Amino acid sequence: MFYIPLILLIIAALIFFFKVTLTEEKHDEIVKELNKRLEKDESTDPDSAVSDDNNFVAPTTVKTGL
Amino acid sequence: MKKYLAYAFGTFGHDAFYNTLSIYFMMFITSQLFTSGADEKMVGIVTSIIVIIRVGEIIFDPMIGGVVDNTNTRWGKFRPWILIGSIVSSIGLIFLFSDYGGLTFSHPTVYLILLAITFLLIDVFYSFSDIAIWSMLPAISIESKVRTRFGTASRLGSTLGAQIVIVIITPAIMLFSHWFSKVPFGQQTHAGWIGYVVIVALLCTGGALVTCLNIKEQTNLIRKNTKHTGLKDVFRAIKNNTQLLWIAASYFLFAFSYVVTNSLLMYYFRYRLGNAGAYTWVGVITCILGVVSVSIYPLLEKIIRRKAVYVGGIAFMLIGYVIFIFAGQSLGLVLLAVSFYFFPYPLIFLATLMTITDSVEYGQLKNGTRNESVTLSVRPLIDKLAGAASNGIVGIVAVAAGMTGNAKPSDISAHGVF
Repeated sequence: MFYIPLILLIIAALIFFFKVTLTEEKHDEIVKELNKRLEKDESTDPDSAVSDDNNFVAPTTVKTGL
Repeated sequence: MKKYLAYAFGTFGHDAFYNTLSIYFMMFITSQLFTSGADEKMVGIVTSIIVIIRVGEIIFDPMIGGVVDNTNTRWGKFRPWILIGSIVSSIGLIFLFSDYGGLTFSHPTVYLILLAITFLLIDVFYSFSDIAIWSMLPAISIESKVRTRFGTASRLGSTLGAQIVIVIITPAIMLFSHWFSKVPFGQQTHAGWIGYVVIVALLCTGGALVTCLNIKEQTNLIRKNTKHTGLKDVFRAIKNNTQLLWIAASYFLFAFSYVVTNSLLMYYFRYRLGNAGAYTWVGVITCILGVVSVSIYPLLEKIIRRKAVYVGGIAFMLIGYVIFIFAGQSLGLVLLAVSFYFFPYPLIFLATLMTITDSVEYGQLKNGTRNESVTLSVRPLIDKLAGAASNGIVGIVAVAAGMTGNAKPSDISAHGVF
């Protein structure tokens, strides 16, 4: 019965290895991208705070490849 | 440095509290409250109440995260919950370890209702402070590196807090029993237990206070990008965050496998090695190796990055398994296997925690809104789920392999164990 947890461990490692692409470097890129977008958002629409979300690009239309 | 210590102190008290509640409350019930055989039924009812509340609470974790995310006070969104959560659950804990002024025996039904209410309050408020304290990570800094240092500090605190309870509980109760009830040292009384529980409650609340006084969430452009999180938004935030889902899937399998192995080990020592006492060594090894491995995490992450930490950690565990399979009844080899197996655990935990923390920004980019606590609530949720699932499985497996009651090592075949 010790084989069941053993197999689960291997699957866990495989998922992380192949499917988790969010590395430290990728995270840095995302932060830069977010800053760029939010700054743009703020400057084009000075009256509304970013959090108002009025001008925020709908997620479905955003394809950044991240 | 002061900030890391302050954060670690918070998670220290927090986990000391959790271990007291999850391990030692049942011990109190059976050794202090219901000591005669006739009380067996009450013990059964109390156990059921606790299991139902704990399992039922799990699905509410993301919603609790949503409430924290919607909080906006002059002290930020985390600190009020950390403090309120700790205070309410600490007061609850003191009540829980009592006989409610004698109601336990004079009015058993009233007692059970009060106990259920107290336990529910503790569980919910503890979850609030638990989720708030861990989900501060993405708010303290936007940089992975700084987050890692805080994450490591909090894990170190929580490991020590969880372990210290196991080490001090028996001597502390004996000491307080001796002081308060004037019994010879070595005996345990109800007053002694209360003394111990008050200390844990103070550690938890005090730790929360230290964290709240010293740690502030950052204000920046990225963190301002939030909106009100409704019930649907909670699930959308998790569902659309595909990276979070993959991490969660991997970590669930890992955590489940880990808890199952852990409990099987206990059976293995008792029934295959015929030496339940030697299991104490597993505790000692886990404790020492755990502190070492948490401490080296930031360095490891810097050199090989966290993906390699996670996958490499699992490779280490697999080596442990292989040694274990060939160890048979040799205690030395089993303990070597155990060392290989337990050493990477905190590293994998931290690699997961840090990736989940960074997935807050991933989700933000995809969803157009930021959810810190909802995202971070996924980790405790998986740990709890894995624990609950393994409880069920291990019982079935142990029965199937014949490892119950007074079975002897010779009765259990190697084939049955594996």
